[in-house]
Amino acid sequence: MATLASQPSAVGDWLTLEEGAATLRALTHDDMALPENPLTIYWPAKRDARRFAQFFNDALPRVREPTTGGRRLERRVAYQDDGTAFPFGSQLPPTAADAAFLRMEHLAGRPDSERFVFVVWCNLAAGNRVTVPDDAAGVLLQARHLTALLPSLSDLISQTSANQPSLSEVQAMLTELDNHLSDPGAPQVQAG
Amino acid sequence: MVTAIVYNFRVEADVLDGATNVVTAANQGASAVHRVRVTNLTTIPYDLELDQVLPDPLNQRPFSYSHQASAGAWTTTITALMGPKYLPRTESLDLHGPPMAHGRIQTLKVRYRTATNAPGGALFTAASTGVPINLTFTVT
Repeated sequence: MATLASQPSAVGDWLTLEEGAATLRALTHDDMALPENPLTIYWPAKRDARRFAQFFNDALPRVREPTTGGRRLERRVAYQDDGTAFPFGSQLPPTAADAAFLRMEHLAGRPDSERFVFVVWCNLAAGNRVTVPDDAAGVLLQARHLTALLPSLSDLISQTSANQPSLSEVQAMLTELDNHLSDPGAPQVQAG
Repeated sequence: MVTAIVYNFRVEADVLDGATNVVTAANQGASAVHRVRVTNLTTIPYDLELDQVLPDPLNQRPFSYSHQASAGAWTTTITALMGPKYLPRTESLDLHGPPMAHGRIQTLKVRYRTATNAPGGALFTAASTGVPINLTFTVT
């Protein structure tokens, strides 16, 4: 069984999940700009723009908000080293091959209260390093979507993580995270 | 304006005149402000420290920072920056000339850490790519 350690802070709870030698980090946001208190799961991802773009496209139907009472918007942007932003559609453009950063987001709501429902980001330059930092890539999602995204997110993390966790290890950590979010008052097994 | 991706941030630097237009030159004695804007491209909050410098030798520098003790450098701190909105920081410049002199403005270092109690986030790390960000400004 995976373990979960929680560290409360002013910005939310920083979570560390461990299963065997595998580790995964997350933050449950406590932010007025994010009214539904979503969470970000982040990990030391290797450079793999195509896989991240594919994950975003595949996940969208599962997280897309209805348009009732507002609008919804999807934005995909590849940033070059010099900060130039290249918006793109569902197909990853050739310019993404040498991009420094990729950010894809789904927003919904009224223009004056638009909120992020789902965001995938990846620092492609950091993913090229010998030692890839823990915060090289992340996914912001609503807690209610985690169960539905668990299989595809487990795939993405196990296939891109520089630490090479197995699929079953990632699944165990995300399942523990899902359980924690469903019942945050339950006793935690402290890591380490 | 110049921009760069510095680790998980998009950093923009420019100079504004008294009417907040972006300018690359201004008259001796005119109002001018060095502005740095940072956008967090991720969805986790970061604390940041940014060092700005005027790298030219003191006696060749056609402008100085108005309110800084060293007149040739300033550091700004940003706490718990959460993307994607950018956060601007500014410092006024004293354009003393001589006329038609060029000077350089650099965002020399960007240090970051995940905000407040994040595991492994207690220490600042200096970004190793995207910096320095170089601007050239002319006093006319």
